[in-house]
Amino acid sequence: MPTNFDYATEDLREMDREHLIHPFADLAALKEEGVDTIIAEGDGVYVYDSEGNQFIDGIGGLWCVNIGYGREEMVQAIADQVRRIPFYSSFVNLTNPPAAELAAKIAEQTPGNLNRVFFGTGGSVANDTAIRMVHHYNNRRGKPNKKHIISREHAYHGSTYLAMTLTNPVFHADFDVVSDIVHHIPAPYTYRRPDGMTVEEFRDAKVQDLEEKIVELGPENVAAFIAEPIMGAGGNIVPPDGYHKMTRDICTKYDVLYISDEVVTAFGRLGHIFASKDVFDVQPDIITSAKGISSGYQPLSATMVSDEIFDVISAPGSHFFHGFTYSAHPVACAAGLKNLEIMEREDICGHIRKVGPIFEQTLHDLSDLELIGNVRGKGFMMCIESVANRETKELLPDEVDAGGRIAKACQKRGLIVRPLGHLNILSPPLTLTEQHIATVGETLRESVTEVMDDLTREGVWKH
Amino acid sequence: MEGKNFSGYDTQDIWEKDRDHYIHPWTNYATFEDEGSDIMAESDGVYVYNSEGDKFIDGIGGLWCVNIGYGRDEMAQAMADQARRICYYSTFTHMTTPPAALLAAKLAELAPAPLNHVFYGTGGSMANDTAVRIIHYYFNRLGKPNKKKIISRVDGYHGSTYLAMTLTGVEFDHNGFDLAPGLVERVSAPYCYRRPDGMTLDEYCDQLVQELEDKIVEMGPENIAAFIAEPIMGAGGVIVPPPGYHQRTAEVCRKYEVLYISDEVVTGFGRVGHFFASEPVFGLVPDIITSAKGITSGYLPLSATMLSDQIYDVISVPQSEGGLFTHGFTYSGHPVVCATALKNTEIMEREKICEHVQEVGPYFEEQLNSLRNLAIVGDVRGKCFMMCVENVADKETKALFEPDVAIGERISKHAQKRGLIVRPIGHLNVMSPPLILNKGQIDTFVDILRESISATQDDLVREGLWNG
Repeated sequence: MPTNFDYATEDLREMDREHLIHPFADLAALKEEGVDTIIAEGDGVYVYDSEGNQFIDGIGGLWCVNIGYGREEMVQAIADQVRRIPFYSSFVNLTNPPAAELAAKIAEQTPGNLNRVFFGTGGSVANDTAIRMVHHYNNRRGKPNKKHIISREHAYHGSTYLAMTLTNPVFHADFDVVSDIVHHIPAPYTYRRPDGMTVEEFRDAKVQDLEEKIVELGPENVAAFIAEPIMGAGGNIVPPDGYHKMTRDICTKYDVLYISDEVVTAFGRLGHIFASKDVFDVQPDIITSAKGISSGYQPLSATMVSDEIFDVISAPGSHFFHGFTYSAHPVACAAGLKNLEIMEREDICGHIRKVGPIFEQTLHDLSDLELIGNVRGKGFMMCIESVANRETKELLPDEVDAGGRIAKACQKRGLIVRPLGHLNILSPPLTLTEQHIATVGETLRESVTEVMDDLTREGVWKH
Repeated sequence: MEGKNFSGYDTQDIWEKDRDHYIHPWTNYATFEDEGSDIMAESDGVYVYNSEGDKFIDGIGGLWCVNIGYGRDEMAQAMADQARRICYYSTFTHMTTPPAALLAAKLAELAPAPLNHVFYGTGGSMANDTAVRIIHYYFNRLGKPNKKKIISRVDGYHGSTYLAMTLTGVEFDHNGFDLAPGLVERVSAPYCYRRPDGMTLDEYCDQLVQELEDKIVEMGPENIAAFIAEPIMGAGGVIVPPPGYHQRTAEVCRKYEVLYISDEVVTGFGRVGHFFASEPVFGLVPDIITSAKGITSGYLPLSATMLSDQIYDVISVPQSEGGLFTHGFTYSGHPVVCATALKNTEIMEREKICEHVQEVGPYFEEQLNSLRNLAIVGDVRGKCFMMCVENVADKETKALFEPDVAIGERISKHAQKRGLIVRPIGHLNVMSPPLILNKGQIDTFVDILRESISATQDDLVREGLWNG
């Protein structure tokens, strides 16, 4: 446990306020108030702010510190690789040992014939790359019009220009996106399906949305469908059983590639290294991964493609004009290798398959709280949805900031959960034990109860 | 060398795994299946070693980035210390980590005066992608939703995301890939060596500045958001503009409310003798500087997009109460990466690496210029530790060899055999060594390059590809 908290909190806050532009932040509020938490230390499933306050990290850094904090083996692997060679280009015909080893290791873990790996430095880059490769693939096979991508409302695929275009249009607010090439169909948001519709009817309707969109655009113009197995930042949305397999079949029918965005779901979060095949019985043409691939210790992502795609883009005479200086960074790849080794040795996927259901049940037990409309998710990827009225599923007004209030109440009690509008998301390190899970459940119960009392007292909620 | 042990590397096994599973940037699939890759495994100072233990002077600095050189134990320590403290935490919304805040303040101190606000990414492509996205947001916030087009330059290299590759003006690199439609306009590169015959540098500069102004006027200033330029063009061929070019293009931009993005991914952090080249070398204060590579000396993936107060003041007014700036990456402000950059900057300052480059850089330029007496060396150009040799079939006419002669690659192969890595780009050989290269190492470097070019000339004559 860390003991030295020799941080100049106020200085850091001031430097941050004056110079750092935060992602997905209310910049005006930050400019006035500065950050409220400086996370300075970490150990196991705990993080500590610069004043030494301890928190259970309910968000795993940001869905990513899967093996937990303070792993000395990771530190050593990183330092050892730096001492060997801290960086070398992998352009054209150069490589480094950790890059080759990790590519082979990942190819072993991917489902089916996804045997070829392109490395980047984050999920946005992995998805940006996937689409660029899909375009290239269709150019190479003489289908230059087959370029449109179908994505979904509530999707989150990243924040480069192209990745943000794939993402839920709600996030586009005052930013520009690529015109024309991406089309969003409705999400399989089971909780908010039309009244009176069964889950199966809803599923069939959502699958039909995909087919209709392909037909409307013309299959000759549609290159790929991109989907997260469970939607993450769009609201932790679990599709109805069979949805992925059925959408996969539609894609196959129309020669549309299926891209599975496993940036969040892979590397154990749902109890498997990759969730597509093992959890959802889907064989994608491309899987993108980041976050858990290095447990966040290093910026790393991978875009894994099928032999069919690779054979086309690597046909003799072709040149692959895409890539990044830090593709296959040796230190990041060495961290990726050590991370996988730890996951295998400690059977972290097995642990999730065992305690994941307990985590799910613990959170579902909160459903008796009046404010909670829905508890959903799978394994260590969970979410609670707060509502004003459980009958009508009506939301509280945005300015009530239900998610923000719950997150604050939790943080006061030593638990970090992520607020997303009226949602609170939980994606803890995968090393969380049953005892930690019980603490998380109790803390959430107390926090939601306190928020309900506050809302009632303030007269913004009646029940 | 002492302490390096190569027995742990199974070269054949690594070679096969790489060939069978890793998709390389810019792979040439005409030869890759048979030839595979060279495996770089160890390093020290300005040297790298392949998995067999062969030693090379690293003439490319990893890829324009290992500025402080290899094997810095302090860097390994800084990373290890930070990873033990906290290996990662989100900087989304209202959270931060100490290294993210400390580095932001340090970068603001190093950048030209008005550039006080830093957005982090993990590479140059992301830094430029972010710059353009923020500029779009900026003009939307100003109520100028049509002011969106970006002017870049032929042979500019700005990265490889969809948007960054659209900015990139190296035609060759677009081959077989798609670009964002309707977003980018291009003007000529300031390619002094290949300027029209009989034109002075001043006249050439006038012409280029006029071309930019004409382009803005033609497209309508109300539609042009920004001009993006590398101070010295990198992967497009180490192209140094004529004197006054950047100052004058910046004036044109100001006249039409066009923002100036200086892409310092390569030129930043000492490569031409300063932390940022824009102001001290080119007299330019841009609205945005993008930086990567040298910012960590490549030890970890980091980039920064640095914005002026003027831009920040607009984008930090919310579009609605509580409205969010919806842009950013999981690894924006990664604590281990930022700690690495802080240590890199500390080393650069303590060892006066910029001053070293200012002193030794001109010697490197001078020695490389001595290669001009070789028959195929048409041009030697660049500045300090960012240099290039342009090979030609005929110095008089500046005619190039046929592309399939692969002249740059031939020279690189000869150099590699002799213990030096230089980068081939078409008919060019590009050099961007670690900044700690000393005069003795420069002499060795240039001797090897001279031998390699001579040997290549002999090969060409023997193969009947060139008459000498």
